[in-house]
Amino acid sequence: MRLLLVLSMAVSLSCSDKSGGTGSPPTGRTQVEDTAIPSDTGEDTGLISFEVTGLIRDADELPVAGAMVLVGGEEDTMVLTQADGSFSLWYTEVRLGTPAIVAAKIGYRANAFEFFGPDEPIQITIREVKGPDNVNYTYQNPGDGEDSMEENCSHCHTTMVSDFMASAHAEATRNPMLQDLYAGVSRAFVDATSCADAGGSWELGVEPGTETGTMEKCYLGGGVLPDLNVGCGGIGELPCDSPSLAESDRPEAFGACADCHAPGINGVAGGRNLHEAHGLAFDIGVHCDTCHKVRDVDLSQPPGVGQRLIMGRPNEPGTGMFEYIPVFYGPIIDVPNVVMGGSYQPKFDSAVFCAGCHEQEQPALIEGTSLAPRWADGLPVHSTYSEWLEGPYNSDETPCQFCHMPADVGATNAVEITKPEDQSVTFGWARDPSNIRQHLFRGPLMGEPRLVDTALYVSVDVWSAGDSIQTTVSIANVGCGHAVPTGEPMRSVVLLVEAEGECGVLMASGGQTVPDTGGALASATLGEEAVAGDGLLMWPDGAAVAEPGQIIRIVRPTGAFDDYEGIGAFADPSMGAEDKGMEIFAPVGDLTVVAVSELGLELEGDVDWVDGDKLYLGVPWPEAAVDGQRSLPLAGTAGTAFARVLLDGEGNRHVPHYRAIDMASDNRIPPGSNALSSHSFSLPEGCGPVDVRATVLYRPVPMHMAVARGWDAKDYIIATGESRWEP
Amino acid sequence: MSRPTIAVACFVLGLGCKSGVERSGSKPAAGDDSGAGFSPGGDTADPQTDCENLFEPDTIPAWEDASMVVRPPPLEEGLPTLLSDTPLFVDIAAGEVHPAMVEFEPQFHLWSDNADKRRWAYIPECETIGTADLNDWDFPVGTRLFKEFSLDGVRIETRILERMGAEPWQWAQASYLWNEEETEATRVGPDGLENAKGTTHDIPSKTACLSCHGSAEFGGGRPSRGLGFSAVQLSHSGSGMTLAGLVAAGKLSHPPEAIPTVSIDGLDGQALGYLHANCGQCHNSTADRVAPIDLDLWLDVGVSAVEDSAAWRTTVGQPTAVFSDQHVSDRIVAGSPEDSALLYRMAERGNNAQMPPVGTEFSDPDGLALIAEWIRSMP
Repeated sequence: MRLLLVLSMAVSLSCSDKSGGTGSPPTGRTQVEDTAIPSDTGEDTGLISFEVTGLIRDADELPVAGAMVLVGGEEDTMVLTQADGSFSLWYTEVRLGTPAIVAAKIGYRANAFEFFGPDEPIQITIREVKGPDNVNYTYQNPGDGEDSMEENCSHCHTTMVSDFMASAHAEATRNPMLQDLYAGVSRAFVDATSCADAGGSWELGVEPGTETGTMEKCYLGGGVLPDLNVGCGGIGELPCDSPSLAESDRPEAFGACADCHAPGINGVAGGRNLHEAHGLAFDIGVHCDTCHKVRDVDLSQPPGVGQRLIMGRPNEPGTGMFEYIPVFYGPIIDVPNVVMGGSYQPKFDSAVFCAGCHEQEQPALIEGTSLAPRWADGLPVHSTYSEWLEGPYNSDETPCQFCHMPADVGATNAVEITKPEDQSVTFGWARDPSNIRQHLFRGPLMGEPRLVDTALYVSVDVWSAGDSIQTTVSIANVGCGHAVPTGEPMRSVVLLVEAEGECGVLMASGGQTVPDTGGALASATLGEEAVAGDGLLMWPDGAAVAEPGQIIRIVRPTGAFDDYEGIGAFADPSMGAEDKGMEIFAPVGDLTVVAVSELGLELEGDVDWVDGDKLYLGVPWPEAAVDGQRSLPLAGTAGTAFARVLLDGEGNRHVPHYRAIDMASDNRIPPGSNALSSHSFSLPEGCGPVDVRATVLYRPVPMHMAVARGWDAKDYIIATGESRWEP
Repeated sequence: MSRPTIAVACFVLGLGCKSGVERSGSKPAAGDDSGAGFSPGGDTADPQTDCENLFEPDTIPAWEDASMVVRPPPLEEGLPTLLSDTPLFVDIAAGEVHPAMVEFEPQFHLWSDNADKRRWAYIPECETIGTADLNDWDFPVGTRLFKEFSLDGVRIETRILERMGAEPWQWAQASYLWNEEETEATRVGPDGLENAKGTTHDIPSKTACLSCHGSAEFGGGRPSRGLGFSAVQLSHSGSGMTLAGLVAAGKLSHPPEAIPTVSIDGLDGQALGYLHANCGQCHNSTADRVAPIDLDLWLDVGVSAVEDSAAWRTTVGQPTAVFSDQHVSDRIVAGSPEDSALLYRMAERGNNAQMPPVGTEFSDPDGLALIAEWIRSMP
């Protein structure tokens, strides 16, 4: 049985100090099943209790000062060693299993001494994790999370691995959107003809996840490799991942994507080409052995492995099944199992650890561009950590892990086969559930209810003002420790506001509308790209994609700007509304596409439009909207949207962050705050009562990018609110 | 203070004691020198030989072969499948409750959408409740707390909280769904049951149970876990077991010298009590509270002036920490219930503003009126 073999080995190794130390043989302890806390008053509680003294040394037999020494599982007993490495602590037998005295120190592997006794000083050797980070180390396979008989993480942490496998961390490298944006390809076109018709180039390039494999792809729309490098990926050039590319033209700028998305690439940590990820590094992304090889976090450095995440892969030659002496960094002090090589790093339990990647201030990456002057310290393209830091959930009690790695009430400890009577060096000690974290890395759409469903609360105020209905919608971020949305700046939240009276749906007549964030099949400015002719709208770009039944939403710039609360730099109270970058476009009306011809669009409806109005081609919001339905083009609808709008050097909005040099606006909803928007609707006489309904959609991927790249983009209904006006 | 005898304890609690045998208390808590216990002199009786618990704790579910099992079974699987197999009833069909069960009635009620509730406690005969902290009782292993829910005269469910082990989280929680004949009830799975027996009443999921009877990691709670069986809730002279009765029975490791009462009169006292029962289980000052909100609506023993209460200090004139809306600013705006977030959230249902977030689908009209009147009365 492999299981027994491995565990036996663990026991024998963990007890190596027995022979060399001065510990006594087993003391004939009696099995005590009472776990009552002993009296600290000297009262006889009937439990075995005695002083333990000893010395903590390193592998060179030098005393270790400041080492943590404790009874396994009993953090309250912990003492620090003196300058000479000595310690004294009080042991009371309160647990089942085999007790041990554990020594640990940051930067060292924990070790333990079992079978100790009174009046018998003990010695424990803790081995320092010698630097530097070992680039020759091969990241280990955590297993599949199903087979607990394998000699890997799944052996003892089966459910943790299983949970991880279903997480976004596991998909971090192979995520097709990442791969497409990196190589600069679109999967919307699957053959040479359609690709060429769309203006792309059908070429051979790297098959993601393979070491040498290639595949034909449609290179279209730009990407990290073609946009950041010269000599490849341009017009008339081979793709940057083409196998035929000359050595001199091969890309050297990789956008630091792999530093967070593919930390498991063996070799030098950081600065790697994402296409070097294959095998484990591709298949399971940010996996067990990558996170638990992070020795420390240095927030002063750029995100990712080899920089902010300081790696500490072991160097010291191992024996037997171990090429190197194992080390796994983690948040528990007393993990002396030598298979783990547990090395205490308290940052695993704090938000700082997550900031290793979920906080990013980026320089201008495209050659020839520079950041707008206000971003002297870098453009904040990811700021989840700082959003939490500045919000009401900033507390040691509620770091990121609190929600995203919820406590596990079903296990004795992280070694899920541990029974209480098995507590020992090998199996660890029973932990409070708050110290057993599920490795779900729960994202916004995970859980029941989904995390994102617990984030927002919508309230609607409605009143009449003569011939119109006025409404104010408040979206409060009540349940989230960071802004909504957060993380990847492609994410947005769209608010739709509808009013319906007895006479039917009311037309929006004033207030805010959904900006381009809401998506459009095409957009134009009347009098410029589109011209109103004799019964037709001359709009070539619109006509190219329009179909009967679609609608054109017309909105008008007001010159007024939304003075939203903002977050990060946009929360600066001295910043004027105009500088916050969200001009209010008022609703003008909708026209329905009746026919499309080479001459233009034949439209139905009555709209008083003027040159300068903005036109968005979209589709009606369905009466029976479904959670998780395909994203719809909704720009111009009564409502608004919340997003961090990144700009590239050409002024394009909603660009992927590797292209960004500036931020037009950031009205995402801070934690503990609410966002307000105002809207009005025409109220025909006698149409009341009127119901106003607000629907909030979470949109992980911008619609325009999804269409261009051939991605499956969905909208999730995450909150609603409604209110009625009675005449 | 005189020490009660076992005779008193048995008389008051109806516990299954050996006839005529005096006994001393169970193991006192650390530092206990109060001499609390059951022996009148505290000098002769041997707790290990003279006392016998009528009902031993249910067994924490056993592991099978470690090489075959990858997860420990949840605690509730150690509970009987049928309610008739718990100690609650002698004759479940006849509705005859076991005399060892102590019926009790908290003086402030948790709103449960107008459900009628009955409650019983079983405290092992040979044990005392650790009351070194009178606000957070440490129930002995083997304690069972039962709560029966009925709607319009129909028995729907009976919930159990049982302390199975000494670790703070070793409480099993489950609910039993009554059959149509009300002759038996069967344990419901961890997902709970919506609209039980065709009513609007939901049997909570395990997650929902833990969100009040758990700790911060699961939504909120208090170390005591058993929320309605407490010093404040039993400091009354009404029916059922009271704090005075427990003291007289010697069931508290640290009996108070005088029976505390909620000495805040009238509207203030009623409002604080309501918040205590309906909100304080999560919003309190313990490490198990819902984090990280500094909102304390638990009423501590001994508070004698409304301005000294945690509820007053952490609400009146205090801006909301993680909730803001166009309608409200502070948790409580003195004199203005319509501007007070606390009342606003109490009134909401079916969305993320709802408070409490579990256990209710309809707001409590009497509770809303009480708190509104209280806020309106504030200077």
